Amino acid sequence: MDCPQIRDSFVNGAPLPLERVQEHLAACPHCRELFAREGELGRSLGAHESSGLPLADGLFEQIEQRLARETGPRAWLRSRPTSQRFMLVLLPLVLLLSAGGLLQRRADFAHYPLSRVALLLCIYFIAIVLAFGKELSEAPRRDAFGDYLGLLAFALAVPVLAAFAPATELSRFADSGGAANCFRYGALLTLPIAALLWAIDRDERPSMRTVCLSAAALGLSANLLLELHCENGNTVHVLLGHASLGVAWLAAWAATRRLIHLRK
Amino acid sequence: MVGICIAQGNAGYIAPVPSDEELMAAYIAGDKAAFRELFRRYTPLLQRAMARDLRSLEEANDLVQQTFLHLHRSRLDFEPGRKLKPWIFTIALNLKREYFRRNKRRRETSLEDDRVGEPFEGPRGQERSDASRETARALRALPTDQREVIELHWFGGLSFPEVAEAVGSTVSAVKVRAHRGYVALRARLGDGAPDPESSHEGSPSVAGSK
Repeated sequence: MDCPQIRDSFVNGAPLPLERVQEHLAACPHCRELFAREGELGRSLGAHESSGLPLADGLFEQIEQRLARETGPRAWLRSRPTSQRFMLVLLPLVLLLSAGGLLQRRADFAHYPLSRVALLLCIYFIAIVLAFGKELSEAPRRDAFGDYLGLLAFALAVPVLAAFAPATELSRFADSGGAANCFRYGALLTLPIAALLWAIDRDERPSMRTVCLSAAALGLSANLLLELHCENGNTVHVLLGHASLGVAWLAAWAATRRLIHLRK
Repeated sequence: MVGICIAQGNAGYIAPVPSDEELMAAYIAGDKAAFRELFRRYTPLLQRAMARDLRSLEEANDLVQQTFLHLHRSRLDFEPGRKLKPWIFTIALNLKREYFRRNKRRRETSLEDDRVGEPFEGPRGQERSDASRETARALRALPTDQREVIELHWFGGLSFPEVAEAVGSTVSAVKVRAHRGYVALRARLGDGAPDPESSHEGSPSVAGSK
């Protein structure tokens, strides 16, 4: 046994045969010093952990009761593997996009360069996939900005930036009318997705993370759908009828979360 | 898992103790007794992990319950070949972080602080109690990312690769965090100033009681 092995075992937490460690320590003053110093800290941590907490009576029975309530369609949906939940929530959007693209595509798309249209749709779609993926992921959750606030800010900003993007002659001179119709249309189309998101969320109480990521995904989805159908490029119209949908979904989810927390 | 064996029945048949992963697989297949055994194994660990930051046992128990509820809901996500322990701790840590986001900030004192004030049994009880209280304070003073790693490694019994999986980081990053935490702990616990020359030597996990 040599010094690197001793150091590696400290780092990796792998237990070493005591006799061999002692043999090495007897011959190596450097490791002896290291072992003595680290050992003191180890004893402190060991002493801290040695005391246990009393187990609450009936804790398992309470969990069993909670599990017994896990029945019905929502429980079934929640328990699907994450890949299936992801596909499930993306499916309505893909269907709506396909149907909308085939049945009622914007007349002025032909006036835009294809690259611009493709780029815009791609940005929306990738951000939506990211938001759905993050929301459903079971991965360790880090700091709030890296985890969800950044994506929410992006989701709210993109439609606003799109409102100021250069439009075609046809849409530039359109008036701001019809914003309420667009708002209703976007909200109605994304309502089934919102219901699905709520149904498959596994958290006992919706978290702020769920609120933000769901609002980001729904706001972007609504704007992507409207982007395919509405040719009115008037800045006020896009801000009021399209970009506001992200904010509206954020408010709706936050209010729902508040209500659920109050009830519990 | 290598462990103790349980004698079963009157024929002297000895069955190996199932690993956590085997229990989880059995639970996914519908064996409720496997869930009870997982609960028995993990509740003390999870309860202590929660209690280190929370003020009441009730809150800690609620988060433990939520952890098992989440485990149940996401059971079909558990892949064969994966280790269960880091997965459960990922769920527990996510819930704990969410709890503190909801409650705005980490509390200044915790259930552990109260608990370590209680006398231990035995002749060296007071001494151990003082040491434990001091260690709790020193741990609390660490940045969250360092403290999390040390607690998972020391008290959760996770190896560094498992800690890395539980916190969503790399093994080397986790080792660096642990090392920085140990240096700070050593300094706070009055065990001498950190020695820059030994900064590559890593954590003391093999020493002491581990």
